[in-house]
Amino acid sequence: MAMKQLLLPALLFSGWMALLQTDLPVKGSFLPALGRFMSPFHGVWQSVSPDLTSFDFKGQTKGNVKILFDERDIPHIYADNLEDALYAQGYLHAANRLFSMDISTRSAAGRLSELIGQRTLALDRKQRERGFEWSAIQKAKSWENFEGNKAIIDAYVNGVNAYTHSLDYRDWPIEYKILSHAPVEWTSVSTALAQTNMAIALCLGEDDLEYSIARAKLSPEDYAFLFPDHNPKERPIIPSEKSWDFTAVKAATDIYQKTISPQTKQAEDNRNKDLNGSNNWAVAGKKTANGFPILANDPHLGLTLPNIWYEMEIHTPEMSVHGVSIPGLPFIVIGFNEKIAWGSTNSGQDVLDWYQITWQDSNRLRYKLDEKFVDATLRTEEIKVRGSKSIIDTIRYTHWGPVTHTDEHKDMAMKWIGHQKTTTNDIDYLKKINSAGDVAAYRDAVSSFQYPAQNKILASVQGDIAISVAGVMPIRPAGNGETLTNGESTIQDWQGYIPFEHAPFIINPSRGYVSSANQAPADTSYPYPLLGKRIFEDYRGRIVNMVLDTSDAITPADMEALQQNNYHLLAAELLPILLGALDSSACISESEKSFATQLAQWNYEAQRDSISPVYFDLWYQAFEKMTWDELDNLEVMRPEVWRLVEIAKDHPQQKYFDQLSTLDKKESMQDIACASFSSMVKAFKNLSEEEQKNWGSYKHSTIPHLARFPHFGVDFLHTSGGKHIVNAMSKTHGPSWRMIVELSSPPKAWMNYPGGQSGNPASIHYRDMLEHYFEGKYYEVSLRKDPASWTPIRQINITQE
Amino acid sequence: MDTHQTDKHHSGMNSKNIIVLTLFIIGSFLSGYFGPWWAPAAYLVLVSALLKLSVRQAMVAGGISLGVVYLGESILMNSMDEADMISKTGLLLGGLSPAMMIMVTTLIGGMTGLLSGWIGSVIGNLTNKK
Repeated sequence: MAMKQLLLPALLFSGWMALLQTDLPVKGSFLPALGRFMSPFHGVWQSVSPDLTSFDFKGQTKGNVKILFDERDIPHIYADNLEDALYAQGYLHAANRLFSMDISTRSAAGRLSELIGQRTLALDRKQRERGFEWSAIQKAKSWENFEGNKAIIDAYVNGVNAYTHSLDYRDWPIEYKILSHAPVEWTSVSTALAQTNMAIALCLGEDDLEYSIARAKLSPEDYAFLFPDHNPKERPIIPSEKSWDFTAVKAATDIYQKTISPQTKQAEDNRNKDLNGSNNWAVAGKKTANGFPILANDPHLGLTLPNIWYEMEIHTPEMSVHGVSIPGLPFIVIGFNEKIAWGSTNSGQDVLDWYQITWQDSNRLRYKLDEKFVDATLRTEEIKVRGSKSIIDTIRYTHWGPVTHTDEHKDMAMKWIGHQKTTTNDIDYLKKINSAGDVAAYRDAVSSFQYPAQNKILASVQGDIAISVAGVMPIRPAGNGETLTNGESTIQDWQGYIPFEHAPFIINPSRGYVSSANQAPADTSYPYPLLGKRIFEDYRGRIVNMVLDTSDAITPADMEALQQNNYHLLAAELLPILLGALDSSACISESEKSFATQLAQWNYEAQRDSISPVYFDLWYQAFEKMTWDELDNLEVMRPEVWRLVEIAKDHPQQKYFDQLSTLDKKESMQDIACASFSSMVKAFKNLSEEEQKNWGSYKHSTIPHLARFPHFGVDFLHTSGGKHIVNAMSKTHGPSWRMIVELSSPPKAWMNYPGGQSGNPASIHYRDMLEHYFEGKYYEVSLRKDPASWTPIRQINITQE
Repeated sequence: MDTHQTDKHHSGMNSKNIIVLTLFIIGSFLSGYFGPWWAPAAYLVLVSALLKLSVRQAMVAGGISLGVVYLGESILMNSMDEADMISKTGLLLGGLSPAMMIMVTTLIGGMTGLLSGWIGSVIGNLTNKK
């Protein structure tokens, strides 16, 4: 009887508590366990008011560390030795970006499904198949072979974990509470993955499959006409005054391989691949108002909140340095110290080749290599999926690298620079560049840089400016690398790397500046072939050089203006051709004339309040689509933008202007200009009222939350600029950090980034720099070497355990 | 006479109820503040059993006390929410406004308190019979 009385309340109570303790699957997602999530003492309610107070704690340091925060919540670390400073950096990264660090490393490793569930399984399988985690494990192991690196990495990792271990549920970042998952331990592999994640974003660019399809489907003449090797208007990074006084290391074998006909018909649409880019330039003192060199850098990436960068200043006996770091990695990545400033843009070179594998049979266990069948190395991958059974995948590793099987690259092995063992070491690079004091130390530092290949720029207080194309670049048998490669013979393999002293670089060129904006590294006189022509940018670099060529007595304010330059060079080169075609054909109606008049009066500035860029964008899209209808029909990639402009100008009767849909008529460029203009007018009238307002409203820039949580990002920003423009603010990508440094002694800097220091959406520092940034304003920064010389807003003291 | 006795009895019950409620509210608050999320439930089960409250008394006092504590704390935290985190999270959870988030929180607290009181009271009364 007594047990009977107890049964009902016991069942209801335990059922209720179990319900509150369980994550509930809802529409492919998960509702966090409501017991703790809705508890006003633990869950979401405790995430509304972040702690920004001062405190002390005991850490695994050799001495005491002081962290002082300024008015923007930028931490200034004062430590007695490098390891302690990096311990503090790890702690700060975790305290401000723990979820970002976790999600980016999971993304690279193929471990998102553990957190998210089925929705990210396809991406995880792809990442596992491409062996990114495997290569990060190898990379972390290799760091131990370099003197001093283990201590550096260990200090950083310990700092991250000191913060993570200090958390209980109520302190978890809100994203972890929503996903109902505890933060995980950070390791050296996590740090390697953070670096791999950046490499994935920056150096996976290639078009092997697309080129193969184009070669297979087009005549050699058409292919050569549509896809020439060089843009004649190109202004490469290394100016032509540079002479290459060496003989290139040649591959032992030169094989112009026969084109492989790909099995797939569908080429990936690569037209958005080139959104990630960057600008940097350094001007010599002879061209500046104060006589000091000035360096500017703005890396363009997919913008997110929290921002990808974390700004900080580090003082140790070896260095005093200020700039931005990447949470997950030690040191400052772009910044300045007392003697030099340095920056980076992506080189965009093709450092990934696909090799077609010939299997012995359908078991895919042995593959053909040098006239015999050899075993593939099998690696079993368990992909844990939240709310479902784990997926077990077997990845096949070949002589070339891991073999993919799930996307368009079926039975193709991936040879990627990120998977290769080299004698260079990125941690060593960071350590050296942070404390470099002159151009020789800078060159020594960049010789250690591994990947992604980048254009590393320098200006120093000694008056030097320099730029180096840094990173490991493969030497391939002639003709290899652009298309799919036959994987049956090792004769097709990479045959070493371009020696560092042969890689393109220049110091103090006569023109008085160095610059890069992701264009080709060098002109055709450079002795090595550098692949990546469809990835190299063709407009921003030319605009930067046009401005710098004609500027003297340059000030930092001029550099700010150049970083925000909205001149649309593509429009300036194409629009007169198109408008000329309209005039000569007299083809537009009375109702369309106002559009043409507006465009004719445009100054080619892509200002957010202007309507002309909207007309041009719509017209360009229609013109391109109508011109390349034959290629779209064949599922062949479209030629580059600059080539279309060139063909429109020089070959108006070219056969590709003829429309497939009109059998009885042969169209010319003029006909396509007229037809696409009418199409543009129609498309404009079909836009929403909001989109019709101006360029900023039409472009509708957004900054989403890193994990795409709705409402945690910014849904609309009214911005100028765009693709192919120095101010490269597109819908989702743009300058993620802007820095200008005048190399006076001591240096002075101006910087800003779209976001804020905190990764906590509830913090006042989550996005407090955003408005300032989009108003085009910068924060002035100089090194604060003496902690007693200024009053911090708050302070953290770390004392030895 | 009957009326007077009833009033006296009623008044005695009210005092006890107020004491119980106060004890429940303070204990729920402190256990919630210092313990894990389920600590207030454990506290209410334990105290209801020890005080050998009637089922009705324990359920009402448990439900009201934890509901009030959850309501008060969530209103307080909501007033400190300058970044609209509750509103943004509520939208993620199917479009709940901050007021609805407070209501759901209160309901969870109330229901947890009610069931904790019930099971505690039954356990207390069972041990009493033994």
